[in-house]
Amino acid sequence: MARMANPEAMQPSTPGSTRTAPAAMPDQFPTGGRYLSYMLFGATSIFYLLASLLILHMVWALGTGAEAWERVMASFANPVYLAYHVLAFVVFTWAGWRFLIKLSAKANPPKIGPLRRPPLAAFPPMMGGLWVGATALAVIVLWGIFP
Amino acid sequence: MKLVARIEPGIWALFGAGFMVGSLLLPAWIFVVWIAAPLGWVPAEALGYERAHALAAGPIGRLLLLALIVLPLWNGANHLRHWLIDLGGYARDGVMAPLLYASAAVFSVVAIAAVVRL
Repeated sequence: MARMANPEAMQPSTPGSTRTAPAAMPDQFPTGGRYLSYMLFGATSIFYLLASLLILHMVWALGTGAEAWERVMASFANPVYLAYHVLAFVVFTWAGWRFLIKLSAKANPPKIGPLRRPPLAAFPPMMGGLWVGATALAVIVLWGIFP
Repeated sequence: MKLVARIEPGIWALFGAGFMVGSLLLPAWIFVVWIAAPLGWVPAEALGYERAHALAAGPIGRLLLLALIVLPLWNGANHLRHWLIDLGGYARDGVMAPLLYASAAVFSVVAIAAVVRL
């Protein structure tokens, strides 16, 4: 069911003689066709905000002292936290895949400063390699393997 | 809203950087720190206070943590704003945009303080 869209988006700056149809959202919006993944991608913003605030909470606790740090770390064993974090892991992995693999080539202009953009086909393996490398390094450091 | 329009190019830059940092680092962070560690899969000393503080308090650690907090924060604020515009039009944007960006700015300052006091 189409609904009315923002009328200002189609408003001419001066009144004209050409008649235009009232602006309306596409029939498939917001859950049909490709709108579903677009809207789900938008919803990941909530997870980004919550992750930032939770890391901020952890860093604040780390600066407060050992007791505060241990208390924060122990709180993550709560089943509600664990369930949320499993969901967040799926969300961030999907958002990362969509951003790095699917969208990065489309989002870059033909020239980036003085440099020419790499061929579009090179973006998915390039960004995928970067992603795997950064993830592996982060896991190795956080797991206590290095340094 | 004039101020929001003026700073918007900078916000879009933070948005893109937030996606990059969030995509590259957050899945690993969530898996190790928020899932594997509470389940006891990670050696206790790896994320114990001594090692965590030593890692975080170095210059690279501080910079990475600041980026990991501030950039996804602006990413989330900007993306959420535009998601709400998609869902409901511009009717509430006059309130939501300043609210989201002001919150991101305030928490960015808190993040700088948190990293400095490590």
